[in-house]
Amino acid sequence: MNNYKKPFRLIIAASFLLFSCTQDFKELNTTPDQPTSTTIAPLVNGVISTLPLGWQEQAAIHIDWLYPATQLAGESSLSGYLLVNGASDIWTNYYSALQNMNLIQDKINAATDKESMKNVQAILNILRAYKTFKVTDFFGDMPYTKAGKTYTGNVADYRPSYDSQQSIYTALLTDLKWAVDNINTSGTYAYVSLGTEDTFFGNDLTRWKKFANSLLLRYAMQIVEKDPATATPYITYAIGQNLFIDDGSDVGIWPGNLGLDLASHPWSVGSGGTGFIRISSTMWNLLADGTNTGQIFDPRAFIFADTNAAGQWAPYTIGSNTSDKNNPYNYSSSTPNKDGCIFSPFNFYLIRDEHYIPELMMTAAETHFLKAEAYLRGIGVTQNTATAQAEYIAGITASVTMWESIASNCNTTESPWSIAQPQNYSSSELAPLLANPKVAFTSDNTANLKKIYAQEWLDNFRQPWLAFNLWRRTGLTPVDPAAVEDGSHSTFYRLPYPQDEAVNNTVNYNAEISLIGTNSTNIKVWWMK
Amino acid sequence: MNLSYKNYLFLDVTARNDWSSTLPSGEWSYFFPSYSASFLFSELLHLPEFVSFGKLRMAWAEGATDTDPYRINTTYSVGSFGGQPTSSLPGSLPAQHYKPAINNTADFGINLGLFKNRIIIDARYYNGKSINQILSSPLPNSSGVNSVVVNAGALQNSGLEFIIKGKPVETTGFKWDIALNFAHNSNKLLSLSSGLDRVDMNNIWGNNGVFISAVVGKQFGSIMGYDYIYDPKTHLPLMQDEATLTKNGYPIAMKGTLYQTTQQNGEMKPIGNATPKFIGGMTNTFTFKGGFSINTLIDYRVGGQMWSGSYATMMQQGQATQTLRERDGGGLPFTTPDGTATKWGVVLPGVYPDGTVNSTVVHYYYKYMGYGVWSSGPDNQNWIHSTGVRDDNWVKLRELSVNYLIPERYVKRSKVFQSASVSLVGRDLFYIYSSLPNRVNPEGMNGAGNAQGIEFASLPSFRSLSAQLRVTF
Repeated sequence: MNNYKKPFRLIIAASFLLFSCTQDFKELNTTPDQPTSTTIAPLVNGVISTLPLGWQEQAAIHIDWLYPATQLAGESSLSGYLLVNGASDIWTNYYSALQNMNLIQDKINAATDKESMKNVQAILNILRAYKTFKVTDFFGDMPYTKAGKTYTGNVADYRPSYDSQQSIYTALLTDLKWAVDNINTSGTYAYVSLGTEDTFFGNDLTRWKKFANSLLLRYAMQIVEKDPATATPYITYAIGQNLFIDDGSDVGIWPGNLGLDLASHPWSVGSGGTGFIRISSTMWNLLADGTNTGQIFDPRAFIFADTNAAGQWAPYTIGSNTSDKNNPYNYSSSTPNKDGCIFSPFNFYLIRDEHYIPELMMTAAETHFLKAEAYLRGIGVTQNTATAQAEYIAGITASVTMWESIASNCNTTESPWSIAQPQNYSSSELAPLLANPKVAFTSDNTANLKKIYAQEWLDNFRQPWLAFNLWRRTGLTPVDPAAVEDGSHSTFYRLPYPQDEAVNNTVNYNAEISLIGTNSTNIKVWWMK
Repeated sequence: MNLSYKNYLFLDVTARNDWSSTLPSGEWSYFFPSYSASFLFSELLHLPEFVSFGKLRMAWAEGATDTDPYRINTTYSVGSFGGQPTSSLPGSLPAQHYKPAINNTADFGINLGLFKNRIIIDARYYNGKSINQILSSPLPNSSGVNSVVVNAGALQNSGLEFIIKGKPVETTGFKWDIALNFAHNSNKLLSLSSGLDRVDMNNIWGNNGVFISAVVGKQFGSIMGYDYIYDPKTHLPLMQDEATLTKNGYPIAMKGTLYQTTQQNGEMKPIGNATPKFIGGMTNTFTFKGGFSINTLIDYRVGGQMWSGSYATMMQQGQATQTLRERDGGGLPFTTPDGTATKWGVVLPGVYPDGTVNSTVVHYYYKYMGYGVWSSGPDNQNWIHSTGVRDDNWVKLRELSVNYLIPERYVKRSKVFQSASVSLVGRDLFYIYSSLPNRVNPEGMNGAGNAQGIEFASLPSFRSLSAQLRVTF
């Protein structure tokens, strides 16, 4: 009997040990540094963190394609960047943010007190509209209503179908108007607030409201040539609300306020075998009447441009046969090294700064130019040339003031870069600019409209995608008759869908390609004339 | 548990149960057994004289593994922006419910010794199936994530291994041992979960280059890329006629230069497979009187392909000697746009949608443009990767060594060592045969394990010569 007891007891003891083993398993397997649940506020801040521009977006798209296509600047030689990489950069940034925006929407929908969520819903609408408009303006039709939903685990969402650009615009304009109508700044109700997590506007709901209304005017104007029936009521509404970005309160990513280091700026212009972007003769014509310093009438010339290695203002005529393969943007030194460049480069400090100069998203100047256009053409408001001219002048003033303010405040303690400042900032310096025949209104409203577009285009110098939108919409932005455009630039109308869509979303991709013909850059998007 | 019966029948049985905290609560415990039996038939049966030893072996085993810690938890990424916390969903969708990955293998083997073990044969066949494998499958970025992990993959692994060893010559003055081995392995992806069709194991340049994938229903190691579209009647590649050129935005003057490729509808097709049909080697050892011996090892690989980026680049950029043919005036008569008469022309093989065979003479540049690395056509369209796929067969002298066993009487004098030998060894000496052109390294793969098949800018293999002294204490 004893011989059996011992092993028997051992077996019983062993089995108790085994069963008690698993009781800590759940705790053992808890991921130590990552949460399994989250709330709206950090998710929104996460979406805000996707607003800065991408590296390939700037290098491959802005420098190589948007600047030459709009003639806002010229490239004296080809860089090695690939268009497809820039397109992928923009696409992946958007869709990985979209799934988080969809999750935020789910959480808002799940709230029991719907009224309290209105301000947060408005902010979500604004962020989603801003990001989506930017991407659809680049690509055209794209997945939207069915996209970014795989996180729910539903197999049906694995490969989303494409929405037409028209339907996307209609939906987003509705969302923006809702935001303007429903942001409540009165504090009469316990609205859910993002508090300090709103790193974009610091929980200033009035700024959100003005941003929404300004975006509404911008994007309604974007489709007014193609679909005036949809666009005009929104233009009437937005101008009627009279809630626009305040002068001096331009919207963008201000790295100084956010503690950011935007190293992509100098990298995209001057790294690795590039550095060929130059000031175009097209833009120079709007800043000066010649290449002597005394012929410059627009103070922004000193902020945007710089002299060449020989100390001359030497704008580059697009298509020029003179070779300039130098790189004046080598940022390893603390002072500009013009590297023997033949043509005028961008101002070294303008693109070298990583800590202060903002990535602008919408300027107060742009809102003035949009209103000027509406009043001059009588779109959504009664035609009134005098009001148009007043808004036009307000726009130029706001733009010059903004750039001079950026330049003079650039020298922060962290960053040794400071823009070579024009000598005096005073309103009197605007007088020669406003009086110049290239700028001043005349009795010819056709010419006046082109001047509005020209100044808006110029204000967009560091937002080339907006100049690109304006060029595509109107076809009336400045061109230099002496410029000889490369064929691929003059018909550059959109970005191609990334290869990833063709390989992994084949059925929906092919359905879209059968609608537009081919996935190339010379296909016009829906709103383009 | 081990059992044996009369020294010719053996049976091993094991049972095992694991508990793992890395799986969800319903799956913490999993059980898996294994059985193996062997039958020494040479002990039992009366076999012919020349069979000195024979054994039949069968085994069946099940194994199970858990997964990495924390993997089953859906977590959010946290970060900070503007001094405030951010959170976001992961960029890859985790599986819904994790289970242990289970593997069943059946194994049959036969060992034979013939002529007093002067010839030894060892053969083995195995067939295994793995289910609930944790695999990652790609999704389009527009879904929000770039891949999804599933715990539902089923794989099949089967193969045959064969070794034959012999001693053809065995005299006091000279001995010759020879061993030949041969292996064939097949790995197939049987299924994934619904809505998914492949697992990517390796790639070069993401969606701009080729992938090595396991496609459902096919062998592992499929080389996926863009190929020509072929005319079903003539089996020649289809070229772009005037209508197609215009639709794609190309001038009609380009007729005769551009093909229709599967990139037009995004289709990455299997254009090869990196899995070899069989691999193996042969060793020969010659032992002479006086302690000298020579040993050689020859390795070989038959079957399978690789995508050679080096070859494709050399062809496209005119650096391969093959490209000199037309450039040195060995092509067809061709007049350049400025009126110069040359012999730089080629007629690209192909046929138009209406059935006419291509006869347009074009500049030889268009012949080599098709060997695309980043792209093989204008405007990032019309890529072809199949031109870079080559058969990868080779036979290599892997090792040659000459050894001298130092006679015991000298070694013993040291009073420290028991025995010593000196060798001259040469490794990776040369390829006796290689199917790759331009001396591309057949073994210069990017990636390891299952992910072989892509070569780009590989270094040539290194030959090494060494002298060795081996002593035993």
